[in-house]
Amino acid sequence: MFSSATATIYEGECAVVCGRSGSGKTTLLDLMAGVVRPNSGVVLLFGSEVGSLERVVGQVAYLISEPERYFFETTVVSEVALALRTRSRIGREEAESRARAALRTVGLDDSYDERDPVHLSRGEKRRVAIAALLVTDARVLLLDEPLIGLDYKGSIEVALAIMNLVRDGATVVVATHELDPFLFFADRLFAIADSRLLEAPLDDVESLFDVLSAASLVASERIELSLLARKHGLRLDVRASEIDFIEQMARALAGEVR
Amino acid sequence: MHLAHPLTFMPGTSFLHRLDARAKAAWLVMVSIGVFVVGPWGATGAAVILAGLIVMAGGGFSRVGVALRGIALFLVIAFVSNALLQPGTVIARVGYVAVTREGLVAGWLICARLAALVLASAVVSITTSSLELSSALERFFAPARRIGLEPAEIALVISLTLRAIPMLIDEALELKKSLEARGVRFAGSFRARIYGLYLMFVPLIFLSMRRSEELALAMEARGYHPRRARIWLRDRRWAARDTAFIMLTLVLIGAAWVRGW
Repeated sequence: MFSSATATIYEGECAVVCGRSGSGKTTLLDLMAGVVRPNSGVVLLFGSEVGSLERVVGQVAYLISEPERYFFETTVVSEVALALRTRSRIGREEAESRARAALRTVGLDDSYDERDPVHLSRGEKRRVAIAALLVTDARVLLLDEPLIGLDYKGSIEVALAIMNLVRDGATVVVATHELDPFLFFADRLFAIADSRLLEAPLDDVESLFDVLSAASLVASERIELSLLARKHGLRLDVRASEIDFIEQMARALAGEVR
Repeated sequence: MHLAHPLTFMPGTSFLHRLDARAKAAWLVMVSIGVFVVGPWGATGAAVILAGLIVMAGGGFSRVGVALRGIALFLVIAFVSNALLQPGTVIARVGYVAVTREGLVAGWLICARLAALVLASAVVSITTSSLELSSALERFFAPARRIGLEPAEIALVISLTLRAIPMLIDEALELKKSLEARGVRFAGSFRARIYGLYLMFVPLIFLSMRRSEELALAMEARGYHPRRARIWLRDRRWAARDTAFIMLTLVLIGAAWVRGW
């Protein structure tokens, strides 16, 4: 799948990997989680080789694409506490209190605790799935397409939950083809082009655009907009928060129209 | 992400691809019986010829390897247990265990037969598309209509069942990945292991039921109904080559049987 992929992600960083469908984003995360092994080369986690998912499971948690397919408990709390129930040292009380704490972290209040996950919105389900990773106390979170299939509100909620994790010091690697929601808080950006992993600079829109084009990604809406705005002598900050970016655009438009 | 299994259909234009699927199905039944009436030389010869057919069909030696690797452990166990447990002329002795000449021959025979069986089914599965196979099955079950069974439905059930196996394996692997990825441990205490198994199987049953309902709905929504007449895109006719292929196989099996090879 990859001819070469070399990158170092530091503790506490949020790295975003983007690429087209089928470019190998999931394979990259599978490699990092030890689900598949590289034919050559190594994947290191805190200096030691990853090997298998089973070995790194306390340190790494991996959100597979559309994780809500595999929900089957009848309350949100027991769904989140699932993994803890396979640890013999942790009692039911403790498991549930840790599950509740994880749910608060992703912004779901206690009115959700006893609800059936089936009846939640997709964005809420996605946040429940992220909470289910947090109970394992993993320091590294790998998220495969966390926003896929979500509506606008849902993706903003999930992106916000991920941002809070990053702010709390988690190391997060996100594979996505929707770049915009992550531009606000991503520390590093990678693109997969022709089975190679490229790093894109986040501080320079033009070279960012070039790297994304090399990955034949039609760059994100924000990047396209800010490049267009430049032609008209306007500057948009692509790394602004969603609401700030909209405000910038509104101001730019107002200036043009007037 | 899912790569086609090396022993599933591989499009091609070889002699074997062009044979009628019914001929190949009947041929598979004949070979399967045939390898059990011939001796060790016959079975070994059959395995070699069948491996040659896979290569000829464009499967390459890699697919022969894949087919045999799948049963390698089984072959080793069958050979060793036969070699050691058959009474007869002792050739070598290590402590209490004795290797007998009869045991070696019996082990060889069983290995050659199993290898030939696996290779023969690989020949058919590599060169026959599931569409052709279901059309062959449908014609094969045509007489069942007299006792009130719909041949198209039987063929559909069989081909859907065959298709469902890799699908279920994929689903199980994905489920295991999703559970492990969120920290569920399948190893550890006895209680944890049992709970891990429960976590795998209960959802797997639900998932497969949901899948089958979706599949049924999708098929109906596309207007598929097994009792309505269907038109096959490529209507195969039984040709001289089909008869020749079967006759040649019969002759080979018969010769090996009569000569006691």
